[in-house]
Amino acid sequence: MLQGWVIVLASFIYLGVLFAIAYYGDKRADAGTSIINNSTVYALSLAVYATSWTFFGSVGRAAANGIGFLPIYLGPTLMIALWWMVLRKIIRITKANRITSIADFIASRYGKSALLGGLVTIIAVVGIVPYIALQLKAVSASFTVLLHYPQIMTGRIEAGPIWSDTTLYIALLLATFTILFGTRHLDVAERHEGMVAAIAFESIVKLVAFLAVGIFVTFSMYDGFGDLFKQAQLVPQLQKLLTVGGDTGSIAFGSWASLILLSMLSLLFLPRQFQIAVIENINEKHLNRAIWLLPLYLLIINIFVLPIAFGGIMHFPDGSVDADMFVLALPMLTHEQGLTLLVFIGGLSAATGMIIVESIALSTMICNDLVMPLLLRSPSFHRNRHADLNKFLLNIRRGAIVLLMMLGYAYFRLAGEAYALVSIGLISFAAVAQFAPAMLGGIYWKNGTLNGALSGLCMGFLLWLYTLLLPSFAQSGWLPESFITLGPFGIEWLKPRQLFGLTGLDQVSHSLFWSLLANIGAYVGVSLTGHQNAAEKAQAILFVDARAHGTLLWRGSAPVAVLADLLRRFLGAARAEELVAQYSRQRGIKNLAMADAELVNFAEIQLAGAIGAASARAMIASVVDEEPLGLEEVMAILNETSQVIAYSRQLEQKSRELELASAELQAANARLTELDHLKDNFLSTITHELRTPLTSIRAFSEILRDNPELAAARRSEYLDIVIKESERLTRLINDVLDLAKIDSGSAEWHARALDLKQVVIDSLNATSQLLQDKGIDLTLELPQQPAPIVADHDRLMQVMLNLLSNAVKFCDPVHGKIRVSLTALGDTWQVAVHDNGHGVREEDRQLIFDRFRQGGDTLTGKPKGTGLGLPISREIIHHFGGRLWVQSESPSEPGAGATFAFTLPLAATSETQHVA
Amino acid sequence: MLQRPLTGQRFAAIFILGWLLFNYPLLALFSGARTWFGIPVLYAYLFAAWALIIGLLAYLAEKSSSPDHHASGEAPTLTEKV
Repeated sequence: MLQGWVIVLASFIYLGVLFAIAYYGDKRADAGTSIINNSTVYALSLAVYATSWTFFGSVGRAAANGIGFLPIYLGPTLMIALWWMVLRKIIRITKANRITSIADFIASRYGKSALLGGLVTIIAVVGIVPYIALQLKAVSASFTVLLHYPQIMTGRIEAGPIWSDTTLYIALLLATFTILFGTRHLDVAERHEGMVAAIAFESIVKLVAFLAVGIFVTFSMYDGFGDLFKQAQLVPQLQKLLTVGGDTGSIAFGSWASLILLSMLSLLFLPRQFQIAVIENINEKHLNRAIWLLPLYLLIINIFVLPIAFGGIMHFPDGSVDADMFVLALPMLTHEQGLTLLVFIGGLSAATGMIIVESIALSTMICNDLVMPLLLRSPSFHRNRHADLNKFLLNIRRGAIVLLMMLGYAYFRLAGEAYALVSIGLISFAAVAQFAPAMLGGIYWKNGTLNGALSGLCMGFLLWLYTLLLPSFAQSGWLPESFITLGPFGIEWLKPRQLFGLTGLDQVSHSLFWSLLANIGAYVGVSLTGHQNAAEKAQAILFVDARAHGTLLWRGSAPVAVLADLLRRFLGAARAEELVAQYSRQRGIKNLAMADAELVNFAEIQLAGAIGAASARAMIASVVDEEPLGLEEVMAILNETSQVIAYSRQLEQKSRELELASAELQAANARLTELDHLKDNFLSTITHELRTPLTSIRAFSEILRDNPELAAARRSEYLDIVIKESERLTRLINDVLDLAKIDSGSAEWHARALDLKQVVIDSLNATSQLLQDKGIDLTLELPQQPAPIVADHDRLMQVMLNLLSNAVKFCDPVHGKIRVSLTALGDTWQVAVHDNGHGVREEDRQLIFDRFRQGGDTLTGKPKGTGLGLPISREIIHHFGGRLWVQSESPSEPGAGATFAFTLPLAATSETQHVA
Repeated sequence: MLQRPLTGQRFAAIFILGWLLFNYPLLALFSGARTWFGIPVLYAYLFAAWALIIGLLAYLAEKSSSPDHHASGEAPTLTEKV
């Protein structure tokens, strides 16, 4: 009933449905209404992680290692927790740089090196071939098992000659399907929306199929989990399958942890995972859903693995049925035709999903990072450069897909039979783990160098090859068995599974340890001892500081026509025109003749989308007059930086100056406030002083007016007072004006050479009448020679008259004595006026030079002057460079008196100069 | 702005928790022939711990993508405009 043609027809119908979905997805994408712009579709497409390995292999693994099948799915769950940090960064870098594959990513990071891109591609291809073989083996085995329906095939089939091997035809069929599917046209961004939609659909199919068989086994063949496990407990060989570690456990803790680590790295670095998670990502926000939906998917698909495995072991206890095929064999046992077909389709969907995405990702890498860089070097390629490259690129990819499938088939023929599905897959996992140091170092460590990445990858790859891949050939008899058991040429410490005598690890952990040790060691060691060139440094900064925008470190110019021609050859005419038009529209440029660095960069990024970063770099370099960043540009950048630094220094200095100025201003302000205060004081004092004489003038004038009958003698006495007070007022006003003039600097000075002795004599003559009237005894001490100074004669007279009148006023009223002396003191002349009055009190000695201040108690005593004489005199003496002060003997001794003295500098006349 | 680095650290904490739950020595506590309600204890423990981690991931991821939480989505576009 389930004849061959039914199975084949169902398979083709299924593939047809996939094709229809992909076609619809592409149509919608072209119309701008993407069906995959959806976080759930993104998460489902990521479930391409679950392949035939999961669908068939997990059960086989669980039958042998019990719970040991699970780390492969726990690892991704842990890795996904780090996606928020790691994958988002990778996605950003990829989008910003139009990266098309993991090889492109690593090559771009280390200075767009074609060599590194090629190496990564080779590692990926060689590493993934066993994985593809795994899928072929699973499809072929399930097909063979199904063909024998309703008989359950026991024992292994011997592979016949190649032309009669169904696996070969399955491989060719899948290659054709992938070619039709993934290489219909060349997408600039390497995005395949239709494919992603189909992969998401496949994820649903395989999940439904696996759950169906799981539920069937658990709830139909057994009575739920409890019953199944209860029956399993009766089987002694199943007991150890549910323990970990120790001597009895199914898997050692070390192997358990290394499998978790391995699957963590695989989720990130498998080319197909990178393709779906990074390249096909439309919106970074879709990650938020995938972060929990993908682990949930993996959890659900794994719930029934152990029950199916246990059911299989209990139903086929003799080991006649390959445990990898339990999924198919159990429904066949109970003749569930529909379920059996569904399981087959589910397995097919798991295998095709992996093969489609993996071979599209790998063919992109082979084309962009291996074939193109080689072609670009060959002269014959440059000779016919005007051919349409679009078709040529597609053909390279088609060839690459066929090659991959054939390699997978070859590995299947050579080594596939000896291994269970999961063991084959782990070989591939260990290979892609080699990308981890260069990738993770590349996005978090700026100092990782090209040489470091090259040597790390080489070392890791070679050790993987030696410790894992070659033994797998030996195991299947393709290499001599002694290679494993005795070591190559019998050298014991080179035994590939016990390298340097290391024992105690399973083969995958052993290989992972040595290869990653060598890989990381070489990467870090070479990076730390080597140097980065300018391009590497620029890319390192661009990748590690992914958020910052890169400066255009490459300058160049080219005619726009040449660039457009280049774009046309690789992207097709329509797309190229559109891109150039879009660029001009965005930049608002019309009829550009020469492309600037920015347009060159734009074209390079667009090309990178089609042929990879390294190839795009080479293509652009061939048409653009471009120099790498020369010393001058570097200097220009440095200069710009140092200008900024200088500017900031200037700012600092300015701010310091400002601070200083503001301090000065503050001081000035304080002084002004003080002066303002003084002015207020002065004004209030002066009004008081002016009011006193005015009041008495007014009072006596009123008496004279109101009392006309006043006696003549009285009258004239009052008039005298009025006149005297008026004179005093006049004097006061004159003094105030005088002081104001001196203060404001607008006073007139008539400085000329003078004889100070003459000035003293003149002043005494002017006051002689006053002295005689008061009967004051005058002593005069004058030098013989003249005393030459430079000053204003009238002003000096004013000072002398002031001092003399003070002395007259304050000397002893009965036996007044005044002594005036002029002496030479070095290069100054000193004039002293001494009286024998009651002196000046200690506390008054400074006060009397203040304005309107007089010695003694002003409240009781009647003021005897304006209170401005001494301040004015001091100002005058100061003006001519001298000093005026008072010295008084102890005021308690009456008659000690006071001495007012001033000095004036000796005038530098020709005569005195001569003397000196 | 404060939310972003914290979200990353929360995810890292989930990673560490998961690594501890899924590995020796915590794993050894459940590696025995016992059963819980008929289910082998190791099988039950691993799937329960796994579900817990997924629950935490779902809570954190969906919380940071809710509309009132702009930090996750807005920042990159802002820097791109600079």
